[in-house]
Amino acid sequence: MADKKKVLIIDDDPAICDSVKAILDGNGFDTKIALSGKDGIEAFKNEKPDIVLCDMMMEHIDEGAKVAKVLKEANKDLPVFLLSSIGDATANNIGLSELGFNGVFQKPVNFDVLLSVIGRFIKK
Amino acid sequence: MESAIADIFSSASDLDAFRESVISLKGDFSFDSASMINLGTEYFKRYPDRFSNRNSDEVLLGYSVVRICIIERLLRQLPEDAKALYREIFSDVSAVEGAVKTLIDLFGYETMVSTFQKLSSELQSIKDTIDEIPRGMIKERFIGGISNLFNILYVLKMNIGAHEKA
Repeated sequence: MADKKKVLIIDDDPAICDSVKAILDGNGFDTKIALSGKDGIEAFKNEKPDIVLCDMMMEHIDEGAKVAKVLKEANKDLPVFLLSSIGDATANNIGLSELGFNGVFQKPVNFDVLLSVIGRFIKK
Repeated sequence: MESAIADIFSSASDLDAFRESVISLKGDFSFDSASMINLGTEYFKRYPDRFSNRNSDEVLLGYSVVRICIIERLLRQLPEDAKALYREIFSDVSAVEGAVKTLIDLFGYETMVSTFQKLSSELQSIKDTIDEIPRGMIKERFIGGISNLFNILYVLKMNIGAHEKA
């Protein structure tokens, strides 16, 4: 049996982390959780995820961007997606790729779309 | 007369007191975009947001306040004997699997499916109202709050699907 692909969720809302993990694990992924940007960077080093889903606003309002930058410097091929709850402001007013993100999923997340997209990125 | 959730929030000493007051309304409170903005305004008076060194506990409390209101609006259409289980489902994703089994045992698979459809429709309707709130931090708390309920609804769908008759 092939190893499960590993997804790292970085979000300071434990309820969101738990529900996203339930969905991803239920769809055949091995999901790891980090509740802060700092823990997320640590988990990235220890767990070596295949893909990262990262919230933007944590301890600092732009923490997700800082985390993405660190992760991309360590592994430029790692797919990192932003989970955003600040609406069009995120999608329209910031350069996602400049910040190190491969794309954005607007909360509430459409998981049919998310599963399809991360499936494609992981196969690459 | 419908109650104003902003007033209830202002007078509540803590989250538990707020939850208790909202539950006692049985979903009978105004929840249009103006009521949401009023609630958000009262919340930010008590817990002002900051650019750096944000207080995560206060942010999470904001999401909890929103979720309490939305859950009670969702549950108002359900029979009293099902409410407690659905409240458990929407409050803790780890409760979904066991609660779905119990609900199907109690009410049957068809009722479970039709209830899921009603809840999905109502949650989307609340999301449409949130979309009317102007962009900003009040909207962020409402989006952050409702997002987890959509996630749980997805988990609920997965679990109901596992019980589908062949």
